[in-house]
Amino acid sequence: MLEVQAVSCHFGGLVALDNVSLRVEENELVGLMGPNGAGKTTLFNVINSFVPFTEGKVYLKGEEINSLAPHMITRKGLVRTFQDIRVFSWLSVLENVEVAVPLNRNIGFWRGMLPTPGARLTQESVRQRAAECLNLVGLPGLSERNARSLTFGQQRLLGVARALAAEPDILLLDEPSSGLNQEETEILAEVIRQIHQRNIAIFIIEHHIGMLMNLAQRIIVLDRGKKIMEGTPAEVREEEGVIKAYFGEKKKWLT
Amino acid sequence: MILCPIILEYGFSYSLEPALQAGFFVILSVSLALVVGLTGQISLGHAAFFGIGAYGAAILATRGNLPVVLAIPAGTLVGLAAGFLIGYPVLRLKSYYLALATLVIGIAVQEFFKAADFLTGGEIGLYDLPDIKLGSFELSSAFSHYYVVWMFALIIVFFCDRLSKSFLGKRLRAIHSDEGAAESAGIDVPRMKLGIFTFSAAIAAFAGTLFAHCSYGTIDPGEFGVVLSIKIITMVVIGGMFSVYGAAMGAVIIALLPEMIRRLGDLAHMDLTQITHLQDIAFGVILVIFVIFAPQGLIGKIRMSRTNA
Repeated sequence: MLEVQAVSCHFGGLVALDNVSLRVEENELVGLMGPNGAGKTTLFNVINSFVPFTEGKVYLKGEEINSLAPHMITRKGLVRTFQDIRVFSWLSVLENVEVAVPLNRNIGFWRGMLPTPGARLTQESVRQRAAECLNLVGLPGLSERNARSLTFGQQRLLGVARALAAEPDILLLDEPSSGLNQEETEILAEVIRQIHQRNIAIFIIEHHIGMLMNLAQRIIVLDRGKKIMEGTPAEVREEEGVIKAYFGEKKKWLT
Repeated sequence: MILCPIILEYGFSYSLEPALQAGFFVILSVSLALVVGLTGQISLGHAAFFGIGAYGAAILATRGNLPVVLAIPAGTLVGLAAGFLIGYPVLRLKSYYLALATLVIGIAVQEFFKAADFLTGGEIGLYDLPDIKLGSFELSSAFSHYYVVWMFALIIVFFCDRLSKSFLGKRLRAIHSDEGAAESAGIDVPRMKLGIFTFSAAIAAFAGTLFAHCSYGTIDPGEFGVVLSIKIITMVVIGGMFSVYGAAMGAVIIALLPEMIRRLGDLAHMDLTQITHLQDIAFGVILVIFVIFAPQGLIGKIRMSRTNA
C-alpha cells in the first residue's frame, strides 16, 4: 500500500529524517512511536508532500508520489489528519465533512450558480455520505453547529470524519488521542477499530502507548530521525533501545 | 428599486448620481467579497480591474471602432485575462504579503493609465465615450444608465450569492479556514484561488466597461486608485465577510453616505469644505465602529441577534 524508501529530510543543518524506509501493507494497522522531536510528524509531512525532502522515494500502491501536490495524494487514496486538528472554523460540522467528499467537486463553477436537477442530486448524495461519516465517528445530531463550538474531543473526531469522507485506502492519523481524556480516548480507539474493519489501512502516530499496543499489528519506532526498531507490540515492549529512547535510563517508568 | 429613481428625481429633486454610483459599488463589492470574504485572500487592488475593464472597452470602442455592445464583453475578457496573469504569481503569497503585492499592482496599473498617453489619454483620460446602442435605440439618458447598471448588479448579486452557498463556495470557505487542511481534504487550493480571483477580476472589469459606456462617458486615471480599492474592501467588511447580500448592502451604504452627510450639513448651514471634512470623518468613524463592534458585519449582527432571541 504505502512504501517509504530511504527518505532523508534536512532543515538547514538539522537532520529531521535520516534514511528512513518502511512499508504499510494493505489493510494493516501500523503504529509509529518515538520521543518528541523524533521526526514522526515530519515523516507524515513528507509522505503527503507538505514538506519537500532531500532524498528517497515514496510509493502509494506502487506509484511514486514524491512530486504530487498534497491534494492529488489525497485523491489517490492517502489521507491524513493533524495533531492540532485544524477543523474548518468557517464551516458547520456537516460542511466540514462535505467538502472532503470527492463527489462534492463535481459542483464546479457553473453548476454552483445554476442548481440543475443533477446538481441537486449530487448535493443530496454528498450530504448523505458526510452524515454517514459523522455517524461512524459518533457525532450525529451536531451537523448544523459551527465546528469551533465543538469540544476538543469532538473536534478531534470531526477531523477523523473529514479524513474518512475523502475515501482513503490508507489513513494517516497524527496523535489522535493527544489532549483527550480517558473516556474520549476509548471512544477514539473504538472508532479507529471500526475504520480498520472497513479495509482501510491505518498508519498512526501515538504517544498513548497502551492504546497503541492494543490496536497496532506492527509498531515502528523512530528516534532522532532514524528508524531504530520495528516489530510486533510484544517485541517492541521488550526492546531495550526503545525504552532508552523514550525514558532515558529509568526503566521503572514502563512498568 | 424600479421606482427609486423616479421618486428621487421628481419627489426630492435629488440627482441620480449617488444611486447610479451605488449600482457600480454593488458590483465591485460583491465581486471582491468572493475573494476577500469567502476565500480569505486580501486584495487591495480591486480598482485596477475596474479600470482595466473601463479602459479596455473605451479604447476598443473609440480607437478600435468596435460597437459598444462588443466592446463591453471584450473589455470584460481583457479584465479576465489580467486577473489570471496577475493572480497566477501573486496568489502564492499569503496575508500581508498578498495585501502588499495587490496594493502595489493597483498603484502600478493606475500609473500605467496615467503614463500611456497614446492609449489612455494620460491624466486627462478618455471622454465623449459612446453609449450603448441597441439597433437604432441609444441608451443615453441617466434613467437608462441607472436601469442597465442596476439590472446587471442584481443579476450579479443573485448568481454570486448562489455561488457562495454552493459546494464551490464551501470549498472556498474551507480554504479561508485552513489552506493546508483544505489541501489534505483533496481541494486543489491554488487552482481554486486563481479561479475565483480571475472570476472576480472579470466581474470588476465588466463593471468598468459599464462605467465607461453607461455612465457619464468620461474616464480618467484618478477614478481607479487605491482610495477606491480601500472603499470596496470597506463595503465588504461593513456588510459581512461571508454574505454576498451583506456586501451589496455595504456598497449601498458607502455610496449613499456622502449624500446623507451633505443633507445633514445643509441643515446645519455648513459650507462645502466643512461638509467634505464631515464626510471623511463619518467614513472613518463608521469603519472603526464596525471593526470594533461588529467585525462580523451587518448581516452577521442581524443573524446573531436572531439566534440569541
